[in-house]
Amino acid sequence: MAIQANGQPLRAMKHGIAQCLHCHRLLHLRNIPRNQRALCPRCGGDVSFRKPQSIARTWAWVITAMVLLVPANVLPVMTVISLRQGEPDTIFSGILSLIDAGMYPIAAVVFIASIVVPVLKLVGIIVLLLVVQLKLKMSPRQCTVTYRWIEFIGRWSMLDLFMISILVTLVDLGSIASITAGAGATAFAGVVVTTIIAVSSFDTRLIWDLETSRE
Amino acid sequence: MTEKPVPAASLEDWLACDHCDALLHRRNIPAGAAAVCPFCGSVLLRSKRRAAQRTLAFSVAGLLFYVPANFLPIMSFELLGNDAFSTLYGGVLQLWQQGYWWMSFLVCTCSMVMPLLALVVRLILAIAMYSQRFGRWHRPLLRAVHSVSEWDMLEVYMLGILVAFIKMSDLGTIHLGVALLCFVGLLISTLGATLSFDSHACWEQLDRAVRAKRVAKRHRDVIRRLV
Ligand SMILES: [Zn+2]
Ligand SMILES: [Zn+2]
Repeated sequence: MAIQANGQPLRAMKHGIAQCLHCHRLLHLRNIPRNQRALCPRCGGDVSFRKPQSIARTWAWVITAMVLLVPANVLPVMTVISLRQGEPDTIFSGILSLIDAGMYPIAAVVFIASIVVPVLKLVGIIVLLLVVQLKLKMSPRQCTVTYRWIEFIGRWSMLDLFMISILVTLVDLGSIASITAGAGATAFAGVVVTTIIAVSSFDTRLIWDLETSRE
Repeated sequence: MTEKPVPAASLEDWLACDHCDALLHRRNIPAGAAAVCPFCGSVLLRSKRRAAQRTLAFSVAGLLFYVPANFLPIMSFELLGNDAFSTLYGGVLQLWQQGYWWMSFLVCTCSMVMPLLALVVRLILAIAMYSQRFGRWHRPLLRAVHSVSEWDMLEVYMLGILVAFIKMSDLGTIHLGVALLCFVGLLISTLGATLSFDSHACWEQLDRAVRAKRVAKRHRDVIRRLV
């Protein structure tokens, strides 16, 4: 382990060393501007000190996700038709009807996966973006831990979509009962994908760069 | 102020942290242990015991479970004498027929395509590690391993099955199908293959194999010239 005399770690970029994020090989990249790309000799992937245009790209995906969040919550995600009657359900009314039926644990699981996770994820990534852009004094270690959590929980919002895809075939009983998907589900699928891409385009090393620049 | 020596030309003994860019000198990690970044706490690398054999076993098992888990009924639902059953593939098809192409595509990608790719790619790489034979074409596969697993969401699908089961068991009669067992088997094998695969070791072996090939070629050239 290499630590400088003042207790700070050696930063790879400061020494002109970049890491290939595909295969983890280190490369000397001296005299190449910060955002310029180079090719990794081991795997052929792009290598740069930081993910290119990380902030702008992350914002673009975050804003797209926020826009899609509106139709995802307003439009119906699923319609249950039983004996030719049925009302379309939005994500929220679906949760309410689960509560009415007394299925509290399921209602909680769906609430967490379809509402809490996407919102927390967006709020979290926006906070991290603001930390970098406004140079807020937050513990970089805390921010990195937050990022890892956001990265981990993201996939669980697919729950609702998988559930719909199971139900549409499971309850396919012609005139007795049937379930169809709704336009809201398409928007929600968009939210899941855009938030996952937003998180992966953010570069946590930018937060640690703030410390180096303060020295 | 004295600085510790900065890594010189060879960077083989050094690691950089993905999340905080700290440069760390690499020490031998005992098999089965992980090296954690002391600054931000992310896992730098994990050395796996018998990575090749375990990955091989898990991915073969997963591929055996794959077809029944995807195409046989996971559960069936009965109401007023009528019944219907659900399969992974059927759900994707039904969404497509209802006109929700994008959703159908996404569900298909995350529950059918990526899990299959994750198993096949790991199987190919495990065979290469086991037999110590690497070619150039292994590189794109090894590079893709991580992103493929990112979109392989079988564990979320498992939760979806549970939620759908509890939700519908109140409204009618539900029978669990044989594919549910296969699905659990597929899920466990995929997780096993993902956890036991050692991409760091694989890259190093690939590097060594490529270098050995280059040396062998040079030797052949020299001999040819002498003869
Ligand atoms: Zn590389
Ligand atoms: Zn770190």
